[in-house]
Amino acid sequence: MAKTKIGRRAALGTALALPALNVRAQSEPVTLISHRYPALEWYADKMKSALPGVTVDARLMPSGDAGQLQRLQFSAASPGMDILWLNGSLMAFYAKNGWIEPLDDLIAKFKDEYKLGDINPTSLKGLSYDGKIYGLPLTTNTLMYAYREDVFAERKLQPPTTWEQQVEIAKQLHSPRRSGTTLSLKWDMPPYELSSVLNTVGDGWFDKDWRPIFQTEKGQKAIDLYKRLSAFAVPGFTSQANDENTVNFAQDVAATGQQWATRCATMDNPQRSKVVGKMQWAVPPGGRQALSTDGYAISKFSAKNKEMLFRILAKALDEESQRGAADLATPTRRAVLNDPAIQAKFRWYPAVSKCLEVGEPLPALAEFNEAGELACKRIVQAIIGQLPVKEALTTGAAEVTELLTRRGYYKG
Amino acid sequence: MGESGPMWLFMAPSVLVIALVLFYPFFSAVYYSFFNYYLGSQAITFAGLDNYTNLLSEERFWITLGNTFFIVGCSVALQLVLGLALALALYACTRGVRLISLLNFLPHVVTPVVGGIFLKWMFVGRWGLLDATLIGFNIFPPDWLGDPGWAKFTVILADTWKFMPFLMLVLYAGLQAFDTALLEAARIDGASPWQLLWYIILPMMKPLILFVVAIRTMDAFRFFDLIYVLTNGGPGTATETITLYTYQIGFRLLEVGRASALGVLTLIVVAMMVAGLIWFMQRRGREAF
Repeated sequence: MAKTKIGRRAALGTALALPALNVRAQSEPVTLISHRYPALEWYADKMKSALPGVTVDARLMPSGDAGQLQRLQFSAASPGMDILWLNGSLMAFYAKNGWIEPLDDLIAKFKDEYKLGDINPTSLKGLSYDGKIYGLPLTTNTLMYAYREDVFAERKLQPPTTWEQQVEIAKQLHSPRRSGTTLSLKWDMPPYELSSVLNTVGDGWFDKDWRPIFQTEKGQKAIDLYKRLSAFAVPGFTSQANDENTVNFAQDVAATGQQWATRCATMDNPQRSKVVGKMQWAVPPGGRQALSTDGYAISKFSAKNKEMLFRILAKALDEESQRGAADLATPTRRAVLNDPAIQAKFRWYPAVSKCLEVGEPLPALAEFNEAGELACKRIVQAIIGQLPVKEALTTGAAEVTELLTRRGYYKG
Repeated sequence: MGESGPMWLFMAPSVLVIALVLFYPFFSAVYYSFFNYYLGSQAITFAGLDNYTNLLSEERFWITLGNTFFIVGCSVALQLVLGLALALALYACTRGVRLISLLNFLPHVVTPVVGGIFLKWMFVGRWGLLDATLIGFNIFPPDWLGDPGWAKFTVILADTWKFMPFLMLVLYAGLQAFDTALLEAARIDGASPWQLLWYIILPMMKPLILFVVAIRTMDAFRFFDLIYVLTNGGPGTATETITLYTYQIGFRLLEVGRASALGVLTLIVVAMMVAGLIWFMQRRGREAF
């Protein structure tokens, strides 16, 4: 009798638990691994409410950490990451390895429902590899020359048009309490930070055959110039990235420097900034500064329904959402970007438009993250005086050549 | 023989766990160290000893090894001196010992990464707690994290802040086990506090001191998290230790074969160092210190 009772209870319990277990399996959260800046926080929140009944577990962290975690997930073929933030450089690497889904079919299927034809083709191109689109772009970000308008007016200065002029300006504005400039040379930042000076004073990063050219005579001149500039930088610049750079400006300890467009809004936020209304932006000296298209992609190893994942991304990046985030990141939807009311509302937009015209993405080399890491380690050694400039750059170039040879370049 | 059967049965779970978490990764690392294994490629090719010879001929390997020895040496020495001083101070204290030792131990309880972030906001240039305070008094401090020399000093200080409490507590526990009659006798004979320390306390604590130094040295050789958060090995390669370099090869360049070879080389270096310390301890033990 007792046995029957237990059996009935067990059967009843199992019957009751089954639907719950099923619901649990269906509502397993969608995992997002993303870099963190205000616009990405906004879109991560939008994803959480994009589809009813679908929970999104958003894990936001600095870009270096995000990229590393993503690589670990991919290399283990883990289904633990469903959607991810990426930029053009990461996209090329992931796409080449077959780690992310091409989105062309999904874009075609949901084009009308989510008005995807409105997305700027240039931004889509920024997340394309080998003729296929691998990410939905959220912004095309650009580095800008940020400067203290009040200080420049007081000293009757104009934004520099060459990097030599920038060294002079930084020297002039440098004081113990407010440094002449702020630099970001931590982690994955140096390739972006150094692009403008290497592209305008030097010969750039690579030639058309992917052989390094950052170590040429002109390249040495460019890095030597940056070394001179670093004498007027906020201390600790080798351990500073975007967050620290933003605080340097916001806390009034830097007069000039390069800043991503996505950080401009913070400067006018009275809760975070001591310099509200005092910052202004221009094209970095000589232009050709780093551009980066940021977007979201779908992991090839995700066990979730790919259409459902795509709908989360498309919904989070719809027109209404991009309007709400217009102060945080340059929108990729033309309806928002070209809206005169938006253009007038955010005072840094005119400078952003000019920067987008003259900027350049990082080299479209799938292994650029790795090559850049090796090159920049040596470049930073040159900037801080750990190695002579020429020795550092030639060593870095040799290491990059060796790496790319191992990766199968330069055959024949 | 009859009794060893059940004994093995009892040991089986622990042996299985050790095999899974220790032997499997270890032998995998040794195995992969003989291959060209890049995570971005499907092909894994046999490389023989190439990974080892390439690493040993790299200047950067020797620089990071040198950095590791320097940082570990300075850090453990500083921890020992401060830990011993604090343990002696606690030993001399008559009131509030528990509270003081608890407060001193707090840094050791904090997760290393959280501790690293906390220290980073202290040492960061211009608006960090330390800089902001000193600048308030018109004192302009050095570039703690950006100057190669000061960055080394800062990571040594950070490691000391984190691990000195461990040494202090172990040494304090050792002092508690002292036969106070010896100290009393020396005092009656007119020994000064320095003489007590030099001729009574330190000789009696030698085995314990050697033990904690050995443990901390082995542990410090794996020093990673605090440096990772504070300087990420920079500026340049100034604070890049061998574990950070292994991390860079494995997790940034995704070269599992080379990273495994570097891991095996690190293991050999640490094993040699530990063997040296054990030999030293045993030799001293025979001399009945």
